[in-house]
Amino acid sequence: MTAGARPARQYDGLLAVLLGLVGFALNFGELQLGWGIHFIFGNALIYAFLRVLRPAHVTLAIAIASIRSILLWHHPWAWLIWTLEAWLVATIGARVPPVRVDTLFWLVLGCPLLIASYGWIMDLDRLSVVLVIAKQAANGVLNVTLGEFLYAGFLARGPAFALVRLPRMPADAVLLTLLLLIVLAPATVYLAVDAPTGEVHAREAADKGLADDIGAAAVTLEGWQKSRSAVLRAYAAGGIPGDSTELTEDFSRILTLDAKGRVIADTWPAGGPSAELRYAASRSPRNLRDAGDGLIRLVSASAGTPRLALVVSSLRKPGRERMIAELRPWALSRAVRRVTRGGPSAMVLVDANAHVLPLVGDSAGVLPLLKAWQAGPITRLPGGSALISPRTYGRSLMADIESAIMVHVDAAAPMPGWRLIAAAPFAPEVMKEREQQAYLFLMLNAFVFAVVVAGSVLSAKLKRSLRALAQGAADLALAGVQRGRIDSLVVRELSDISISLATVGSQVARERGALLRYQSRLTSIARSAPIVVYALMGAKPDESRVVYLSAGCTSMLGYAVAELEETERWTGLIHPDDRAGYRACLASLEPGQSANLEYRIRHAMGHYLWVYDSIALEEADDQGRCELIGLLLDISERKRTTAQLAEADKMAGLGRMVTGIAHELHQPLNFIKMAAVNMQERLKRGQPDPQLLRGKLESILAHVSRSSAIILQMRVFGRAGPEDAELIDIADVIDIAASAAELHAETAGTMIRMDCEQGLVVKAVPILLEQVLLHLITNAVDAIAVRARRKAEPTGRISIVGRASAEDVVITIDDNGTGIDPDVLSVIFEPFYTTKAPREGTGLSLSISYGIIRDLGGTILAENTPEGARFTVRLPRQA
Amino acid sequence: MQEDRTDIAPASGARILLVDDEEDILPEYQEYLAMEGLPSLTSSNPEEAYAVVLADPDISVLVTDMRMAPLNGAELIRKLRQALPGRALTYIVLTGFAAEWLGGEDLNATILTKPVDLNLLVDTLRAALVWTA
Repeated sequence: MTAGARPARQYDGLLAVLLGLVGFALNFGELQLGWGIHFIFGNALIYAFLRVLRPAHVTLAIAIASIRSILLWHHPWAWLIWTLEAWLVATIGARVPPVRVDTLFWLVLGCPLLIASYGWIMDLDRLSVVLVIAKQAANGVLNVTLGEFLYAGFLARGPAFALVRLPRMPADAVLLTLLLLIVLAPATVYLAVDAPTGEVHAREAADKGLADDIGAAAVTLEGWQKSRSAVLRAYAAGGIPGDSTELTEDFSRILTLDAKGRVIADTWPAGGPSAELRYAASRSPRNLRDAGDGLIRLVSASAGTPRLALVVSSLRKPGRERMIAELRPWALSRAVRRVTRGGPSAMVLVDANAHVLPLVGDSAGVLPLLKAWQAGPITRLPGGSALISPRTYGRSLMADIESAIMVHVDAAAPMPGWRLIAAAPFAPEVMKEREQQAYLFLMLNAFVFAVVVAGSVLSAKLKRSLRALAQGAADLALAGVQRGRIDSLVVRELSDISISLATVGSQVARERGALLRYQSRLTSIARSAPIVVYALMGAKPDESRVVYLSAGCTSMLGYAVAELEETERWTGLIHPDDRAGYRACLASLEPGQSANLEYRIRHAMGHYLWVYDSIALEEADDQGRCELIGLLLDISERKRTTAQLAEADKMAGLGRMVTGIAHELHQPLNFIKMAAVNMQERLKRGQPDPQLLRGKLESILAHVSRSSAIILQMRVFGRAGPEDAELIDIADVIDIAASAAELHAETAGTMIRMDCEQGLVVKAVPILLEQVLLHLITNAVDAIAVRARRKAEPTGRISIVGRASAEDVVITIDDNGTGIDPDVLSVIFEPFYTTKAPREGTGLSLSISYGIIRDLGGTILAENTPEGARFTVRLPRQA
Repeated sequence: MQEDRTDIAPASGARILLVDDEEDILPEYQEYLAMEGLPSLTSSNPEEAYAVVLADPDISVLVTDMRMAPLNGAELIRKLRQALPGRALTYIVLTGFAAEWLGGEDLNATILTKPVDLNLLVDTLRAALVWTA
């Protein structure tokens, strides 16, 4: 795995060999399922790398790991089939879930191959072949399943194992793996736990038969001895003749010995006393003495061949000490066979010298096993049963356990010096168990197959559903296209998800449609409306670049959109005089704030347009970058109109003043006329009083001077045309404005009081500022006049105060007029708003004043006081 | 007020009161009318003039300026009419802004424009005095 990083493909072969070796080692730790059946799991590890390694490498690794099977069973067939299985699973497993491939493999290829190899070539019995097939298939599928499960484990572990990019598992593979694991794992565990118990039961069952047989045989032998002893005593006593069948049937020769061991009678002397018999006779007295009670015992006739004789001692006849009766070879067998009826396959009597006396069956096969099993003297065998096989349990294999035998040694020998041993092949029990096992494995495999089929159907459906979901999600992400129908799903959650997906999909589609309509509407507005929308993006306004520019820039400014995409080009269009203001405005904006400003911008044709720019700064992302959105309106026309209106307003004001002045001139002219007429009359009547005339003339001259002053004021105010801004003392401005308004005020009976600090300097065009103050004073006068007309009130008073604040010059104009209607306060500076009759004013004065003050960088504010109204003008103070 | 009246109305028997807030002009009017044989009283304050008319029943013609503070000519006339409903009093208004009043509210007064045609003023006064005698 460490060497399996993507670029190092050349190490894959090495990795495969390593894996194979590890698998081989793991295969030594097989799981015992009893009766010589094992599961080996080394291959599971290799199947875990199915998706990582190339098929050839997987096959190689399995081939290496499976060498264990050759060592275990001494034939290559299992190895061949497993390697083939690995190759197939690895080759097809990339597209189809490997467990499904494997199940199919065992059904289609594995089964016939096993029949051919185990059945025909190795000639195993039918049951074993069935068992082998079922077991191998289960083992194979389990290995692939475990491998898949391991891989799923890798994937689930996530980054810890992600040295290589691990391909994901498809849903059907995961589902099948889990289902099969659920079926196979408990079955395997059950088999492993159950197998020893089964074997014990089988042993006990086999042993019970043997024990019964041995018991019966022992009783029979004892009875036989007693009855034959009695017959022999009767013969010694002369009770029965020597040729009676009771004697001839079981004994081939009977010797009667005296106390000194001499033969005193021989039934069939022609044969001559055999050396063996004599040996037996010579040895028996001591033996018998050893036996003590003088009972009849079976003794070995010689040290070599097992010739047996029945020795009867303590004969109650004088001169006759004992009898030695040689047994016919079949004597004991015939007696025992009668009771065992062929239960055990073999029953033998064994003496301390390992002389074996076969009683029942063919003991030839049993003896070597017995010798191999128990090296020591057989007489010292523990009583009880044992299963004897070439190998001990746990390491025994199918063939070994089949050839094992069950032996039972008698607990208490029926004859001293002899042990009775019964043996039976274990095979019948094994076969019985194997039948059950085969049945179990077949059922398991049937289950596996059923699960694979059902799981495949289920997972195919699941896969379709998931694909449909994924498709739906992809569609949603791409285009928000509503899916007509999502496949009916097996899993409720998926079904729910698909329904929500469909719902969301249609919603997204709807919203997307709405968004598109909205967008096209906006685009249409941006294109056809006489506006330019632009967006600047950047950390600071200075470093920003144009990210959006509406098509309006072509119609309004005459540039193609592409021409203006650099910010410098954009700000470069702004009139040099206005650029600093624009930059300052941008710099002062905080995200979330907006501002309006007016400036001039150069048209592609070269002339400047006045634009109104409504800008807003919004935070665009979390890196502190801001987007500035500006909306430009062409206000050149308005500016022109406003200028004209300002002029018109000035003319209107002039007109009003001329009227006032005309009235004002009426007074002195009237006086001059009256005085002149009176002088003329007096001269006509001949009453020329020089003193009187002089006084009158002086009065006339005084009135002429007054008229001149009035006309002079008109001339001061009548100056035309804009002038350059200059530093002016605010007191002078107030003086001029007040005196211009005074005529108007006085006629209305209003007092103007002025109080201005000296040395307050502002930078302004004098005439404009005078105009503003005049407007304000005139409005105050008119307000007072309105109030005075409504009800008699004290004299009208207007107070003009000029003061310095920290940075500004503050001019307040208070009156005791009607005050301002609260509803009007908010619109009072808007153009054409007026409370006056049409002939009295244009409604422009305050709007123009507002514009003038704003242009000077100042503010103008209207408010109500307890007495009337107050206008406050603030202007930046100059040093 | 009584004192004021005595101050400014030395010629008893006068039936004309001249009101104008322009003090300079009043003696000139008075002098001219006197030369024409029409004795008159003068007042530069409309409120004072109101009091004079109320106090002096001889006064039968009021000549007033229009633009004055705190009481203008029209207001003065209206106030007097209200205060003296049965009194035969002729009102003559002198104004520089005759246009303002033409077609305006009906004062039922003779309106003469400034600068006044003195012959017309004298004729009007004579006629008024005859009519109210």
